[in-house]
Amino acid sequence: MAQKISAALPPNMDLDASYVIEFAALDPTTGDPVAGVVVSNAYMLVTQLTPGTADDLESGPFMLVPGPNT
Amino acid sequence: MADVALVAGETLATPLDYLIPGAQEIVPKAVTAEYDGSGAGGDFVPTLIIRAPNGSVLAHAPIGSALTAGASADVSWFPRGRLDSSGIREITSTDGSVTVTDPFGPVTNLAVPASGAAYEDLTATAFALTAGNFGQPSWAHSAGSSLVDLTTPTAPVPKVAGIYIAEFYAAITLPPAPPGFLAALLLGQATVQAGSVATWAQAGGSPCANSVTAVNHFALTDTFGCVIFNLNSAAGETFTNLQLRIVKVA
Repeated sequence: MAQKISAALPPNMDLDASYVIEFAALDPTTGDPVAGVVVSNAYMLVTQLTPGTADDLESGPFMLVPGPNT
Repeated sequence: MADVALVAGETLATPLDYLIPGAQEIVPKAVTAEYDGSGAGGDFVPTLIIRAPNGSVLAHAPIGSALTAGASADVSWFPRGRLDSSGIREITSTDGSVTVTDPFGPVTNLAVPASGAAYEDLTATAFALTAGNFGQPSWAHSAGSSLVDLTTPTAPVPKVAGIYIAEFYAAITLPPAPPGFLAALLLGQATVQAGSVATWAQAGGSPCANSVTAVNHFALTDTFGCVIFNLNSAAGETFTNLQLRIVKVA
């Protein structure tokens, strides 16, 4: 069974277009990326500050999670 | 402003990027991912990285410790989340413990006085004095609470001002004639305390033991400790089983 781990997310980060949120696996000694690590069910809850629809936030493999009102 | 949930349902290789689309502005509130390191090339640290449009790193958010190659973890990031190895999670002492549930919250002053019955036992290794000389044993904690600062092992200093009882004990084997004659003195406020003087005067070659006790009020700059005088000008003396018990009574 996978470990359950929580970590700190920098609070109140107001990110504009072209910023990137990256899920990485880094070598603990060198800080370089470690090959062969995969992620699944990557999930983000974000506050959308700009006008428009939620669909405007879909990017790359990240899609909207259908909610009860959609 | 609305909260929006985004998910990448597929299994994807790291690094996995989410590029904020044009004309959008967001504030991340919570992020999770299931990391599978069964094919990892080595130990790894799941890390969330925020990159500026020019590619420079704005923030690293690693978990507190590395995962071994082959391990898996479900990782959650959220503001005020726990840093596994960096945040304070618990403050402990021999007199009790305080669990810290929010290491990133406001500063809190925790006054945890030692109980009235708190004591600390100190010991010193065998201590020798040459003829007619004097010296101070070097003390080390052996049991009980941590009442004194042992930065200078010959002169313990109380961590909290108060009223203390200190008792010194030692055993010696007196040298052959002429008979040994020694005095052991407890120190408080850097002076010899009245009533804390003990002498040993037994027949040469006889083992003996003695203890002395002193009660005093100690400020934070005062020192506990003990000075031992070898009053025998002809022979050296060796002390064993050196013990100093300090009891905080108020």
